[in-house]
Amino acid sequence: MSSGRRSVSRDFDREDRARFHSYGHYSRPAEPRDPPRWQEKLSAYEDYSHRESQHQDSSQWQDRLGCLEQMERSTNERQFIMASSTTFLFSRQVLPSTNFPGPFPPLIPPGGAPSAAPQLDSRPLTAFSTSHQHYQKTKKRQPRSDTGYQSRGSSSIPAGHIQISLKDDHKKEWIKWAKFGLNHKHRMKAASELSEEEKPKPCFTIDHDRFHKAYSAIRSIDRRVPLETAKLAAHLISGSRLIDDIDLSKAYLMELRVTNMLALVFPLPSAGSHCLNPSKGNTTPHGP
Amino acid sequence: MPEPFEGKHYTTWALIHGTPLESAQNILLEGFIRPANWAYNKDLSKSDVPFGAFYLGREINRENSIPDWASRELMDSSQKRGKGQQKVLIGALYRRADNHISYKAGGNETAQVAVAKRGIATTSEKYTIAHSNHVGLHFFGLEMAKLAHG
Repeated sequence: MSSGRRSVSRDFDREDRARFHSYGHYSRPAEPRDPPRWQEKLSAYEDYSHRESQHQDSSQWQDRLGCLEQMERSTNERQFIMASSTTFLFSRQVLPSTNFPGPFPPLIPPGGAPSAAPQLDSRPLTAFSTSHQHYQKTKKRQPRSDTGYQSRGSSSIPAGHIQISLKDDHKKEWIKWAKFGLNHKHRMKAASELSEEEKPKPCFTIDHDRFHKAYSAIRSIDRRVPLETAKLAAHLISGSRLIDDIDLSKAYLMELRVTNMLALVFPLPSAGSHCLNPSKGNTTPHGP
Repeated sequence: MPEPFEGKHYTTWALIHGTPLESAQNILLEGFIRPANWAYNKDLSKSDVPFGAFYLGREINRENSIPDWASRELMDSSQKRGKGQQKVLIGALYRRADNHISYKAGGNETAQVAVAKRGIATTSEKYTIAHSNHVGLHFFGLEMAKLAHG
């Protein structure tokens, strides 16, 4: 049964191609025409109907034959469509489909005939046309819906309704926070924001005697204090202008047992440690 | 350090801030610790919101100085953290009326935003971010290896 259907489908293709050539759309000489295909096709269909008549109602097949005659009459229209390079839609790829919207009953089972039938030429029919234009896919991006769910159609919003959106706009939220932070009256400038005038001015030189006095005081805290560390501490205190304010006699060495380290600790003068400079923007240090 | 809310309830934190030598000098010159450096972007969605610097912190009793145990613990643990492995460790006290907020997840930016309102926040990376306006300096320390000196 399936072989009969396949032959019908192949006849359709070959006939269409032969007719297409006969209309002069091809530069090569026309191939010799096949014998009248409509007869063969009809006979094939008759055989088919004979075989099927054992199982189906004869009135149903008469309807089918009537449809086939209509199909013959519509062939002219189909040829015209083929000549205008749109036959691609009506070729063998569409005809076997069960979703064919026309009045014709499906003659070929879906997916069976095109792959099983021998293909005479794999090129589409429109490839023989001089007026053939390459089909270019026009990709149209679907606009993203506000809902974030592509399955929801936005075109079906009735009048007077609004679309419900669950889209999380984290970016706008952060911009709001950034504005809040940058315009906050209690915000203190970071060191990277300071201009040259605003940057603190360290002391670059110090009297030799004062430095050595501080260095000796640090060395006397504990004999375990290495020379390099004592020198570094003296430089840091001198450069920070704390050499006159800091009490080096209160410095002490702390053992850090977990990491097996030593820490040389210098308590800062109480006045300086609580200094909150109003000129840096922290005029209300007590919070909101 | 000024008394917040006229001596009413407040929280006190002992903080340790690790920093390089040049930055430590600037901090000692100014007497406070500025917020962490950040980069401004015209697209504000890519900008940070800096309010505080990063510390290692412990909440302590209401005291006017950092207790010995807290400074020892903080300096000891500082070597285990990236922020503590610096040349200079600066000890500071934080005081404010609001309790801290503890984040177990999320980035530092979220914690910085919280600092604007709460004053102090602990991050998922075990750092403490404190509002720079509420932090006062108490000491600075230099760490050295113990084994080298027997």
